[in-house]
Amino acid sequence: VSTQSTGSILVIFFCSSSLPLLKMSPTPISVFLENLLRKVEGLEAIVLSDSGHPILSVPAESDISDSGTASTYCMVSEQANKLGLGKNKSLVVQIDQQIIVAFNESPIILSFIGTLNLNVGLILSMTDTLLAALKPIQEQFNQN
Amino acid sequence: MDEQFDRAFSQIAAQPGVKGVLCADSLGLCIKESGFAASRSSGFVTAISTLAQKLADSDSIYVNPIVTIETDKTTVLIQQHDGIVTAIYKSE
Repeated sequence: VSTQSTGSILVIFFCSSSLPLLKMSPTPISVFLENLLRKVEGLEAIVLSDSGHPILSVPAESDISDSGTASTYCMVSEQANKLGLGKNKSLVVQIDQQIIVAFNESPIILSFIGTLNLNVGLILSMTDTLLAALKPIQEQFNQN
Repeated sequence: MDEQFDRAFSQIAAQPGVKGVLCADSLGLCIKESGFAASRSSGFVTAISTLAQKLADSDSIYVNPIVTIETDKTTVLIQQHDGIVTAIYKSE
């Protein structure tokens, strides 16, 4: 397990404040994530979670889950922030035959789930862009 | 343990015309960088070499093409070998 502790040009419109995991017409964020899914080698699914509960998943029909990483990561992140190294931004973890890269704008967690061939470096290079994209979503959830 | 690697890396970086060198692993994570090369490019370098392999010969995993990217000021040479991707940044 490795954690990375440490802003952007991407603007995301988030259409609804309470989204159960369901099939819906493509939102800008799901289109953005689906594009990423196609471009990154080894990437199988992307899950957006609120306090561990998935609210958006691409591909929509996928049964690939993050094995509970998102819910545990919220707790890990609280502890990681106490290491005196700054605010925890991301987590990379290998579980069995999966690699999961998760970005933290607590309580919003964006998880990238992939095979052991996943290009982790490519996803981590987008850290600042992705965190900036999650900010408005986090603010939306904090308001509700 | 990595003295041999460090020595070889330094030799390449010291070559005339070489502005930077980057070594990344198959996960796109930086192993070593020097000069002009930035560790945040590791993911891109690995992605380029993986795609080039597919382009060169989709049936074989043993093909290791050399990718050359030329810009106005820099030429970047990228090749993967035994799971390690090396990128050499050269001046024009």
